[in-house]
Amino acid sequence: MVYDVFIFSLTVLGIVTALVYSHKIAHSRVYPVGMVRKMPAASPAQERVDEITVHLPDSLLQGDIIELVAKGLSNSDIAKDLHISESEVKRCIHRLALGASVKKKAANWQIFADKEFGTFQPRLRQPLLHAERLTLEAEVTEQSEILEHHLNLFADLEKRVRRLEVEKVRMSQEAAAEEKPHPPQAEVIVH
Amino acid sequence: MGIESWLKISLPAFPVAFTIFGVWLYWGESPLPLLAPSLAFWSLVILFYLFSHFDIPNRSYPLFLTIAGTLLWTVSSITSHNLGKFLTSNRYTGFVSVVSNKDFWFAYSCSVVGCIVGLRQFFRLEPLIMNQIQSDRAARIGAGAP
Repeated sequence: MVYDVFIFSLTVLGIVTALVYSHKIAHSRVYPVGMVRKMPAASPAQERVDEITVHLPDSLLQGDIIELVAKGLSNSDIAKDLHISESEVKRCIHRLALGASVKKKAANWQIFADKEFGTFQPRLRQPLLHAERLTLEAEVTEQSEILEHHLNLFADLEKRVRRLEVEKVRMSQEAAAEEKPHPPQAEVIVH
Repeated sequence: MGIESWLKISLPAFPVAFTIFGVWLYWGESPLPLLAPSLAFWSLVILFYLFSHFDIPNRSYPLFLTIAGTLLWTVSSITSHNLGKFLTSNRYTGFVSVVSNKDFWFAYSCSVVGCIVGLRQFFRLEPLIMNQIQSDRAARIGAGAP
């Protein structure tokens, strides 16, 4: 009896585990492991990018994150693409942002991208430090206030234009009424 | 798939071929006790090969799949041993008596599931692995390495 239960449970465990992880692997991004642990180059431009990024942090994950940040993807898109959590992406970007040499290399990457790809957009988005983020938020707030002020001015201007149009129509109607010929007066005949 | 890939998949199948052509066809003995663990071992070797040739970043799916393959092989081996004892006993009266034996079902369900999983992953991932191997060979030749 014990033997039957033991064998049955091992069988079920083995079959379920095999099917579940087989399904997960079928829906994951798979990287073949070669002599050099990197993705095969898709084009000559990609080879140049690999030459640049080989000087960046050794970790394959950090290299992948830098490439995706250069393409302008958000943290959630990067997390989905690399099958990692968003918090891991943020931690990695924060670690990269702390390294001054990485900032310099990111700036060099920007120069290379501009030269190589010409008008290639979007530009590299450097990870923001806290102080830079506060400055940017203040600037956004100021710009939104200015925008609101201009919108109010525009609304006032619209009202004035409407009022002028109404007045113009009224004046034209009055002018038309003044120009109307007076009805002829009855002829008085004196006998 | 090239000849290299077919060799990779057919060499681990030697125990299966030995069971069918040697034990069953040549010696005329029942292959049932030996066939199930051979099939399970074949799938295990394929999964080990795949586990060592591809990577999923920050995930351990290949490791767990290989552990599942090992578990299936273990169950298949234990139950095949009991099936072999059953076949040499007086309770064995023919194929119907084998089919009614639960060890037979445990052994072959584990080995068949393992085989299907291993072969499916192999046929799906082997082209990627071969592309990487060929590009590595080309890079090595291009670099002038011996």
